[in-house]
Amino acid sequence: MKTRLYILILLGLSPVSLFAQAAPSEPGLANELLIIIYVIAALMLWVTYFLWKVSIHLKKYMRGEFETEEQKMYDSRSFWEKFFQIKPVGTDRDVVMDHEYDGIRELDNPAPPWFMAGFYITIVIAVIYFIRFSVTGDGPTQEEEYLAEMAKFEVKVSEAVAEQGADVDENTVTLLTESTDIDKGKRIYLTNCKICHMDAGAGGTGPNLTDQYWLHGGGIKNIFKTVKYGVISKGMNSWKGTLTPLQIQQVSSYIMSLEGTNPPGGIDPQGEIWVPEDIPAVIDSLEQVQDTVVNE
Amino acid sequence: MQKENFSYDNRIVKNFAIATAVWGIVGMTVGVLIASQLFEPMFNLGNQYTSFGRIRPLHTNAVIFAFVGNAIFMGVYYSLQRLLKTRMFSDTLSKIHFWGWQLIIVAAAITLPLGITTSKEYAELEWPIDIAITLIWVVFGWNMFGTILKRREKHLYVAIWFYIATFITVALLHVVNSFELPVSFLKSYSWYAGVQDALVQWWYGHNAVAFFLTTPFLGLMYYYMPKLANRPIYSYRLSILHFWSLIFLYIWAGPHHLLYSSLPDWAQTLGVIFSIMLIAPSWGGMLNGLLTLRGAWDKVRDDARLKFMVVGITAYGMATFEGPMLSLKSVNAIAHFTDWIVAHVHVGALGWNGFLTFAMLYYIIPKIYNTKIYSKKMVNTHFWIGTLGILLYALPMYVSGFQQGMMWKQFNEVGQLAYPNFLDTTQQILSNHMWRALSGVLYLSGVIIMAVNLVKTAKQGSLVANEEDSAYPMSTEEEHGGHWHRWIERRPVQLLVFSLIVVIIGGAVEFAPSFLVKSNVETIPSIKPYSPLELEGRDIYIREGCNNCHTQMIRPFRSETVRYGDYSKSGEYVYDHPFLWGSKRTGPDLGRGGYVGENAKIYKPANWHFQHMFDPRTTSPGSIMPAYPWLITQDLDQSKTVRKLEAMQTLGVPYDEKDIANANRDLNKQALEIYNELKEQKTVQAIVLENEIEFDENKEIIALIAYLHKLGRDIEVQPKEIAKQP
Repeated sequence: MKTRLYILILLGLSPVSLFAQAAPSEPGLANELLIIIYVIAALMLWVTYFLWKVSIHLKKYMRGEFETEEQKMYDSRSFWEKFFQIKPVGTDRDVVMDHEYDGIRELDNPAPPWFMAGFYITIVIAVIYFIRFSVTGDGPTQEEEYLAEMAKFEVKVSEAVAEQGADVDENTVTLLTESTDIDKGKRIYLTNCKICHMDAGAGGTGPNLTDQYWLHGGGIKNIFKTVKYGVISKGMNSWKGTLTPLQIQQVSSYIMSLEGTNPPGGIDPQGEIWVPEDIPAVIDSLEQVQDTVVNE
Repeated sequence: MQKENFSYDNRIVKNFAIATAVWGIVGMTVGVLIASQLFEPMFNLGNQYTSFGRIRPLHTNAVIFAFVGNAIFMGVYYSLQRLLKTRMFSDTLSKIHFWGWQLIIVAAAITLPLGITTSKEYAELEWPIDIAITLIWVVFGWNMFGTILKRREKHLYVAIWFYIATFITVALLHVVNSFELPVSFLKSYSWYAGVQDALVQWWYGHNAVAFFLTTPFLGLMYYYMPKLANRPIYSYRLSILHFWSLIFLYIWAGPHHLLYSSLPDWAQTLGVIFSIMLIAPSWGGMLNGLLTLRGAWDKVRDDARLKFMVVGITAYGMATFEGPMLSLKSVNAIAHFTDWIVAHVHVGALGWNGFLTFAMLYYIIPKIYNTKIYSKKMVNTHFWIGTLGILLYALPMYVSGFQQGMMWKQFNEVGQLAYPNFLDTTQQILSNHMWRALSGVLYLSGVIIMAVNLVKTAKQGSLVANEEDSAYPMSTEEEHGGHWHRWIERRPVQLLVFSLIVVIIGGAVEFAPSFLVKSNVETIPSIKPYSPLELEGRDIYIREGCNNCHTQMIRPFRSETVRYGDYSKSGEYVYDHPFLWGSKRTGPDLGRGGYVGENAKIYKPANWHFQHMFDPRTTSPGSIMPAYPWLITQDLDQSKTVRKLEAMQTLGVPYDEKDIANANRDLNKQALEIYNELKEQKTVQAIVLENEIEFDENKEIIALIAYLHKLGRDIEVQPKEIAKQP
């Protein structure tokens, strides 16, 4: 063992002394050469060692020494014992401890190599993890992770909204009457609204949506507005963060379609009768017509 | 030198064995009941003493401290005497220990259904019981150390190292976590607040698993496994390695219960890395147990007790691998708050603690009754029913946890929650909950079969109350050489002190900065202390155990902020003695239940809460929440309000003398406002009229509504400016 160590040191030192003088003139080249020589030397050393080991085994095999008692025990282990590198029972005589407790004896087998390797690996992982997250700060904090997630979704959501078409608001919204829109509105209603307003808008915690009475104004524009901003103190949530403008338009249109359906179990009306806004508009236009007639 | 004659005390072992079986059956029956409540609210049995929030702690306390606790004492009292070749130090102390422990359990069984609780998980018992636990635990330690000091065996076997570490660490955990300020005989407030309380609580909670459910059982395994298999322990040096590394590393891992919470990032990181490093030390125990069977696997075929051992140790191995995996933040993001965690702990509890306990009982009872087991066939049946029970428990619950966790997080193509209604995710897992209850019935019937078998065994033999043995007295010669670790094995006091030092390090490193460095808890000026009415409401929330199903911790994920509102900040909890973050989301998070600002997500008006508490099914069809009609009929107890405010003031909550002097007046004023709002509502009028309730402003429900409307309300003020603060 010691001789091998000396050889190793000699091999390691020799290139250094060889190139010690050449180094100043061409440092780059010298360093590269040095590395190559080191690698070659290491390789040669390893090959020599390997061949030496093989020759010993070969000699033993030729002499029939290979099949020792112990080797037989190792070979006759079950698949799982081999897999988990567990020492065979017969080898225990070497490792029995010199004590017993209430008849319990202890062996001093080494822990299986994979187990020890596993322990060291987890420690290395833990150190790297700690450095990344608590020393260099390469690992994101939970707030950074959150902001990144929000940013990613912001892009995704705005793209999706743009794809849906016009970005309607409470001033521009119109009543949708296509059955596909009403169906979509119904689906949104069933997922989000029925918990308070019940299945067919009969009302529960939230008011009845099927009569002519409205607490915060009827008509598509007011309903859109109520859904969008909510009436928080009364328990009506704001849905603008949850539903897209188109979806609010669809669900509001569905709610409009419920008027007069009079579902079973409907609760009493709340609020005031809503006079549709287009009636004053009609009156206005009539007045205008009158005005023009008068003027003329 | 001559051998000395002495006898072992078997009567105390018998007493603990009976207690183990009886409390096991009680605790598991309560388990089946609460499991049934989670798919059919009818099983809350329509009265306040058996509603889920109150008896879930009864189940956990009964199985942990009554069933497993008594099993530990049984196993320790039997093995300790034999490993040390001496009788227990004092029969009187043994008796005080036994009866004291049973009284504590009875006290728990009475107080918990009455709603007398601190709300801190696995530490729910109120302060007088906490003191009793401390005293009885000291009696146990005193008796154990007395026995160790008069031993005839010079060296302490590995089992005893684990017993010693268990004793000293549980004492430390219990005392530190139970720091509380009494308000009255059966009411106290935690000394710590918010984030700090959470950190201390999960340091305790995590290490209760480590030092009450793991280390004593590893010690017991080291005695009963070689006894049953009649084989030597595989590796002495592995036992040294995994003993010291386990007790050192375990303590640090507590924060993995608080990943993605308001706990500072650095503490979470420590929780993650120490959990990863725990895999090998945990598995060291499993390996040494299973490898002790090397060369004796044929015995497992014939001896059902070894089957229990093998499945139990394997369950331990699975649970201690799964634990670190759940501590990875990406896995935790899905699994936390779901049934996955419930499945995880039950693999450990039913498999490791349960099965090892059964193996011990089947070993000890025939021994101390000097007979053979009454029926081996029944042992076998018990084993198979029990194993089936564990499988049927774990599989549906893993599916359920994963499914619900994913449903909470799922977005549709336009970036909206796919399941905005929390109830939809609950509905999906109800059938899994039925399987869980059924598996509980299976496991419990196995235990009943065991009880019958053990009683029959005892009847066919007779108790050897004092078992004779003889041994040489301990040699007084100095010993040198041998393995280096042999030195400490001769010195129980040093072993105790070293264990204590090793376990203190982790806790100290995590606690000190959290308590001393201010930046760990951000200051939010808009957060105000609870009003007297809100404080009383909070105590009702605690009494009813709402925190068993509702969290108050919105994690920083889009899926949570879209559902519940802005994520929780540590500065919001500075007046929370105790913290109420919860660990399981059977119902939605309530952390922003009172927030009415822009983008309020879950605010509900007073009349909704009124209706919901009276019958949750009317506002939320299909809900599995218990009804709380008694909150509407019971008067609020105002007699302690002033004392409660004074206690909070002592703990550092900035109430001034005026607040305290006017506490009852302020309370009534706020209550009247809510009452006036409620009585105008048609839904409220209908309930009051139909059920002939005498409803006025002094009912408990009003305090609870005030509290729910306080939750997250104060954060309304400029959340952006808070984010900017360092």
